[in-house]
Amino acid sequence: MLSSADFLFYFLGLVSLVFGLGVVLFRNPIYSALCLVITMISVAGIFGTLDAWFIAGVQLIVYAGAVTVLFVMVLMLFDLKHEMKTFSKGVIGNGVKLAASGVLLGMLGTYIWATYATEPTFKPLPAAATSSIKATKDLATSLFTTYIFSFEVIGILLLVIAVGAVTLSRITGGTHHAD
Amino acid sequence: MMSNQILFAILLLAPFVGFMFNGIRWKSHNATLAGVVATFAVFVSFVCSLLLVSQLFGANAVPSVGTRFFEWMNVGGLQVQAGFVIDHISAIMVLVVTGVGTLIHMFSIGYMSHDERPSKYFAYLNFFLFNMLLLILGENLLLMFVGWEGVGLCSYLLIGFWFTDSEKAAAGMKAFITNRIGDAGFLLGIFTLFFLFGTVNFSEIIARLPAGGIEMGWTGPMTVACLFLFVGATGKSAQIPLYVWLPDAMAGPTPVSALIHAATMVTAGVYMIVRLNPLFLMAPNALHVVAVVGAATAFFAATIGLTQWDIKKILAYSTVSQLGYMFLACGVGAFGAGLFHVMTHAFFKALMFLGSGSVIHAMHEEQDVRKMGGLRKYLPITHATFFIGWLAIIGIPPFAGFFSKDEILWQTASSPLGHKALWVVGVLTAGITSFYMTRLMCLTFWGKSRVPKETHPHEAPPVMWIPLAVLAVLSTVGGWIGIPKVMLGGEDNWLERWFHHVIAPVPEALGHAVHSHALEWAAMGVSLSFAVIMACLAYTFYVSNPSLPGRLAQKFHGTYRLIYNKYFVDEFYFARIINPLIDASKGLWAYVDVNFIDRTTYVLGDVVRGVGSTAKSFQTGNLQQYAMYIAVGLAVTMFLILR
Amino acid sequence: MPINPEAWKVGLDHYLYLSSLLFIFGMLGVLMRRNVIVILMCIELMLNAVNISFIAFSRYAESTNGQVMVFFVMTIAAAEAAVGLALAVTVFKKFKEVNIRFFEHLKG
Repeated sequence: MLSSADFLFYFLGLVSLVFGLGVVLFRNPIYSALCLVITMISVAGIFGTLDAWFIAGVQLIVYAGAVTVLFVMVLMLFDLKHEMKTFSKGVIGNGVKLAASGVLLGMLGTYIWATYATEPTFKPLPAAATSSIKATKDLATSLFTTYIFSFEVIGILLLVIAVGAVTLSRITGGTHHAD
Repeated sequence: MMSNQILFAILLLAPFVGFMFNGIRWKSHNATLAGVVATFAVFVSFVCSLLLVSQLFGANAVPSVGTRFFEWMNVGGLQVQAGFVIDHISAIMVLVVTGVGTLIHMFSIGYMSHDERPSKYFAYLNFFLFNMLLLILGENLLLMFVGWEGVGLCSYLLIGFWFTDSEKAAAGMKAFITNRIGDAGFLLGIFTLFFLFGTVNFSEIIARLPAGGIEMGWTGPMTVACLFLFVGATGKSAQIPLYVWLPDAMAGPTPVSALIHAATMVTAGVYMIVRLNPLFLMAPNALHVVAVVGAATAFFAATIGLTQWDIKKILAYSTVSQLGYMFLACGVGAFGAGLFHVMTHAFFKALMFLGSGSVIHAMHEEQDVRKMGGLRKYLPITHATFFIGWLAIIGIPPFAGFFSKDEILWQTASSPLGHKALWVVGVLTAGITSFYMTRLMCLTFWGKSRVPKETHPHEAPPVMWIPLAVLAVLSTVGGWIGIPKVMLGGEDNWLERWFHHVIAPVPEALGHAVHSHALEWAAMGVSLSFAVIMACLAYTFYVSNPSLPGRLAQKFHGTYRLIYNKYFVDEFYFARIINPLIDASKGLWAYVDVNFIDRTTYVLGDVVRGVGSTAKSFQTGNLQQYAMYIAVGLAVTMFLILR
Repeated sequence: MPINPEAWKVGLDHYLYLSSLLFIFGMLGVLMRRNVIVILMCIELMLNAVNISFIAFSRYAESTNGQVMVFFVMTIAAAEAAVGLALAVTVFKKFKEVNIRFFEHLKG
């Protein structure tokens, strides 16, 4: 019988998969963006089922909040008038792309089938030993001690990105003419 | 006191720095600046070599000074150091090259003052000197080979210095290509020696020679190696059959002829043989070849010299002939005498070439002796110095040429490796030399003036006559270091003591030298009186009775034509070697090249182009296509891992 | 074929399956869609998929390193979205469209 935690996982997983597919399939980019928000939120929930509460919070704020707002803002800015084709052209190209994805999916399915139908190799997750406060504290400790250098580098990177994005958006001309 | 390594570095690099300096500003027209820098660079080398050579003298003299800069090659069994050495052999060469080189550079300042590209000229000249120093000082055959090729290159560049004249450019190419044949032989010789001894270092080769293992046959490895090396020497030092380039090399500026094609580069072959003298003594048959070729060249070139009208051509054939003498000396085992003649010849032949340069300069680029005559009036200093050079080359004591030539002739007669016939050829050549040199003097400086009215000969500026004067002094006293034993009352002369350690005596096994003072005096007398008689005869022919040579030429028309046309050797080479080669090459081109090689390259090209255009379609700039490649790669990788 | 009743219990594997599926969906979007902004969203989707497996492994190994990595990935993802969108804006200003096709002009 499924426990409530297991049920939560299946529910959130299903939601994220369905809306993830929605991101890919909706013709209107605004719908894609909304699907993305829902996927993000459900992924945050999945982080929660793994007791990574801090990351789950960051996920909600950064992804579901900031990044998605960014996307929506840009979409509104563009205000696309004329319709464009959803999917790229080319029978051979699309065939190869679908085939590659299909192979990956097929292998995944085969693997699931093989491991779970015939030889059960269940890898249970250990019980959450520490409280969520303690876990967040641990995360902060390793972030500010072991990974302090990477952390600083990431900070510099963000600064560079900010400057770069501003510079890019100020470009008016270009080396190529519209055709 | 500077260390030897620094001295060697300065010695070698000074001309190189001069080369760089003048090479960078090669378009400059400032002959004085270029010339002074170049001359100074060589002079610095001369001073360094003096400092180094001085260590071979005195109470605490060392047998040789050397230095090693770095390991140049270390490949399997081949270990080559970038090392340089001055011993009793290279000391003489290095002093002659840098000393005479300084004088000739100085002369060039005046000679090239009106040229369009003096900087380029001096750059080449300095680069030549750098390579010559590599050749002389290198402690192994490979370094010598580097210098050997380098001087060949500079020789080519300088012969064709006025390359806008296609004849002169062709002369440069002729020199270069002829030298290639010799160089191939030289390389084969190096390979054989490396194969035999496992080293290319001179002193190591000599140390590893088998004791008493004289090879009598023709096919022994050492004989073969020596013969290969001698092929290299015939190319560089203009011996039969590869001498044809040297007379044509006179197309270059006259100081170049003096420096490269008389005093230094062309003696490299002799120097190489002297360097390896213990090896050559192990192969007496190779030495016989050297002696016979040397004697033949000496005689042959001297006879051609009799009939030439171009002042530089006469000197060129004289140079070939004198080089023959040097090889004759080496061939009879008198290596010291050979090197002695290299030195004295460098003095007097450089003097005569520079003198002829002065004459040509005065005559406004006229080289035909028929349009000269009576120049003594106009060019007193040139005449005086040329006169000394003339005395030296025809072998009048106490001038330099007498001692070295006499030493060679006596050794030819007395050495166990020598032969009476070689001596007779040598004496005959000395007579002919005396004749054509006197002819040159008569036609150029003496007798009636045949100078065209519009030419006004003028004496050279001091920068040109000072080197002449110095060389004249050297041509006078230069031979005194090798006064024959009989004149010193049986004492060894300075030269013999100098070469005592480095020149091996002829092995006992090959026989004993003739020791007879009476015979030596007699031989000396014969050659001297013969030379004097021939000189008087030439004077009669060309000054007292100028119509006589023409009548003689009429009478012996066939012989005269043969000699005047240089025995048709060039024509023979063209008819029998060069043209067949060209025809064969044309055949190869028209058939093999067009039908097979070209077609192969076309097919290869098409294949490459096809592959390229296919590959091009992968690189479209379409980002999604790139992403597709990644995805396909991921799928394939995963498939291979999870298979 | 009997299905193992244990298989329904959620373990590490299930998180990895979820992660892989989301990743493949995102990849399909990146490969197939034309709109640059949707492509950027799909990239975010793929990054999220990777994050799930990071957190799952972190939990499985009882270590916080995976969470630190996710933290970094999120930062990079935000930065990447910012630059990507800025580029998209630039291209839009030029061509009045956000088709991925116009990014070919970046080839120079």
